[in-house]
Amino acid sequence: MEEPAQDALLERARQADPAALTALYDRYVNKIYSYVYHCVGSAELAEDITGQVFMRMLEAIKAGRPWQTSFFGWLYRIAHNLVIDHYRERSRASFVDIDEAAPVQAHEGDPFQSVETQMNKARLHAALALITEEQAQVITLRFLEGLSIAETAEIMGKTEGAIKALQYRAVLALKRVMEP
Amino acid sequence: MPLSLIELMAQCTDPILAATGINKYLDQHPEHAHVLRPLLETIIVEVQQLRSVPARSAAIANNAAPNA
Repeated sequence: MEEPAQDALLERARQADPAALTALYDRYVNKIYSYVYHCVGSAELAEDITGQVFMRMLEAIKAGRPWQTSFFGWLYRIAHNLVIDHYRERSRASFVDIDEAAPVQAHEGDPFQSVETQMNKARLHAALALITEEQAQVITLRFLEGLSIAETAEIMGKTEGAIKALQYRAVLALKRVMEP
Repeated sequence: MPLSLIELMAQCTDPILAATGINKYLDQHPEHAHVLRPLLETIIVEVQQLRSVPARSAAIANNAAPNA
């Protein structure tokens, strides 16, 4: 999903131009952080993995292994692979470890409502762990990151038709696992 | 799985992301509304409450910036 105006920036980044790399970092860091946070459910861990994403990006470019067609899709795939690596190391027993879950924040409103919200979030994270990895990814990209069908297809390396079908199955599966 | 349901959900999820509501789309396809409405409500009621993301720590963010 690169815009024409970004082509020159990407070409400079491909040559490891420091200013171009910094500009790309500034442009994408919050998006990558948001995606990783939605996958792991911990701000601290998301910061750590986000830093690794950009280090991997830099290493790949310097090693002459940059993106082929889409920088945007390539960067998200690096992030996704690092998230998967994290869960493989942790044996993917659960989508979010209770010890890593964000603490309940001080809230100006009703504290019981705040706790209930946190519990609902934990329940949803647990439900996302019970559906397939691809289903969880499409729900995260579409409904948490707000990406289009086309953008999601680009990141996941699938056709738009495949993403539409996967999205349908993912929501169906999520509803089933969330039913009492 | 009927293709029309897949396509219809794809059409209905864009208004969800745009926060413009789904009734207009479901009213045009009343034959599928009973299947799609609970699925779409799962997205609206359950999934979308996870959208908020805590702000990044400025100190950590600066440390994470790549140095070419």
